[in-house]
Amino acid sequence: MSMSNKLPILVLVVAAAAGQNALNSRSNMHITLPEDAPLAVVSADWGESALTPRGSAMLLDLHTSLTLRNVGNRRVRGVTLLVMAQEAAPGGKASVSVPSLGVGPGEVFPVRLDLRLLRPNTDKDGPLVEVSLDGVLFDDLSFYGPNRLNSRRQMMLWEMEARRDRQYLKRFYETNGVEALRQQMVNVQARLSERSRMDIQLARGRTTNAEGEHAVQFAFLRLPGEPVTPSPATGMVSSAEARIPQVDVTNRANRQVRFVELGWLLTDAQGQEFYAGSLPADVDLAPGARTRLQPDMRLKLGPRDGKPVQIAAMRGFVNHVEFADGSVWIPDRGALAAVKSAIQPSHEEQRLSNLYRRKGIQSVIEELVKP
Amino acid sequence: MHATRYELALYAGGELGFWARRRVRGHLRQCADCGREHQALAGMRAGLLGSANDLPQDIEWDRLSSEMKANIHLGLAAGECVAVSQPPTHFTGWRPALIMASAIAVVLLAYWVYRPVGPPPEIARKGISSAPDFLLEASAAGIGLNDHGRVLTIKHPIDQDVTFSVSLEGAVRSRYVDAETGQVTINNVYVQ
Repeated sequence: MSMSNKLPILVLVVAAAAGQNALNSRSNMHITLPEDAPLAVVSADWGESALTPRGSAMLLDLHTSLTLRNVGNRRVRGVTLLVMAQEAAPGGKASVSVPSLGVGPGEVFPVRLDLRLLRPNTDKDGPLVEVSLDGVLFDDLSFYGPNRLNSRRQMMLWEMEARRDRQYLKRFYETNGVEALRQQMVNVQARLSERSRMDIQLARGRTTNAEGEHAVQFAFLRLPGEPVTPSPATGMVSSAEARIPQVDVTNRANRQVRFVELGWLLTDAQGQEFYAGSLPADVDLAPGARTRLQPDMRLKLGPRDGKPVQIAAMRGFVNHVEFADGSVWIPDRGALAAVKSAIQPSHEEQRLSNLYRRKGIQSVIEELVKP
Repeated sequence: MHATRYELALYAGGELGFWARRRVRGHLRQCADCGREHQALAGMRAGLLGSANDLPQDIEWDRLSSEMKANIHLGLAAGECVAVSQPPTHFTGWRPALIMASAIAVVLLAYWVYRPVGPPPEIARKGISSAPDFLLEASAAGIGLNDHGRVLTIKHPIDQDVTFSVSLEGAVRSRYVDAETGQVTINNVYVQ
């Protein structure tokens, strides 16, 4: 496979299973990286990707593993690829991100892409799916890419959280020793496995069936050092469906704020609290100024462990803040202790605990002591 | 078949409908009796029009005219109740309607035969999915957008620890650690 930085790859995905049709050679996937991108496509393995007719439409199952090479001179910490399905607007847009990388110049790394796309069975030529680079984050927190998905901010937040957690675990190891660190990794595994499985549906606008809807208070935790303060509000819930209310947010910092993300916690009728999602908002908040976040989404929860969920209460906290100068604020681990049982382990905790499970505690220690 | 006296009277006044006027005119060309009747009625009408100026000042001609027309129509309607049914003519009754309906059917048939093959994309998409009104979904199978049957799903390995989170700006995220590479992979699907 060519290593050209602009690499349109046309791949014939041959369906092998019964009932699946071979793809037209022009119906395929298109990968484009800019000329000056710090990454190049080394190879693309399309695995058992297949195309299956479904009535007058077609179902495209892509199982792709891309191998990318860092052709720049900085260490890559994160990558986001934009996946765009043609003729699927609005929507039909997805992304695949890989944070917590440590890819040095000249090194290669894989990105997996498992995509299912349903699209009309048209005779139009051209790729079915287009994959492009949205952003690359380097270890000096500099960024490359068109940033159409705001991946710079998101990868920056992930990286800051990862650094926070690695520093915490490193100190924890230095203070408490190997066995304590091992127990930490086991605890992360336990938190992941104890989470209840629950399907989530997110829809825009008001529900047409507001039967049984009632108001609940939406209070906020106060976290030390939080640069913005949300005001309590009233949310509407109906059985397993919740509509987040309008929330007023005041900038308490002495800097301009351009992005706020609130965490959203729900409590069921049995008193169990769980992380429902986040409320991100682009704002333009001068010091002391106040703005109103007006989400227009409703969340519906599927059965939890086979039982219907009854939402009884909701509360929130400030999860992320981005200032106008591009710097970010995230809560420290101590501040999140009050909601630790509800929130998920961070992606870095998840990665390190997985590393422990696969390679043992020594690999985790080596990872933590890396510069 | 002779024209009726009422038809001849209305014809003489120029007040018959289009098709009836054509039919009476054609009949008058062939029927001397009806022609004489028509001439008599036309003469009476001309005489009346000629002496209109002699009518007393307090006669309201417009009102009288309206009443006369109403009486003529009333008489025609009443006559229908006792008249022997007439065989339909070529241009009245159900035949014109049948001809028009046949023409429309031919046009519709031609459109159906030559319509574009296959349903429009929107309908095609709707025919495949149950098309729920929910836009973004996260489940054990993956995360995806279902916009009225238009589906885009990013899947994740079922046998791995997958965490979901939703963003109320319109995105669903799943996160898992790839078993082979040990890399964290975060998938997002967006409404817009």
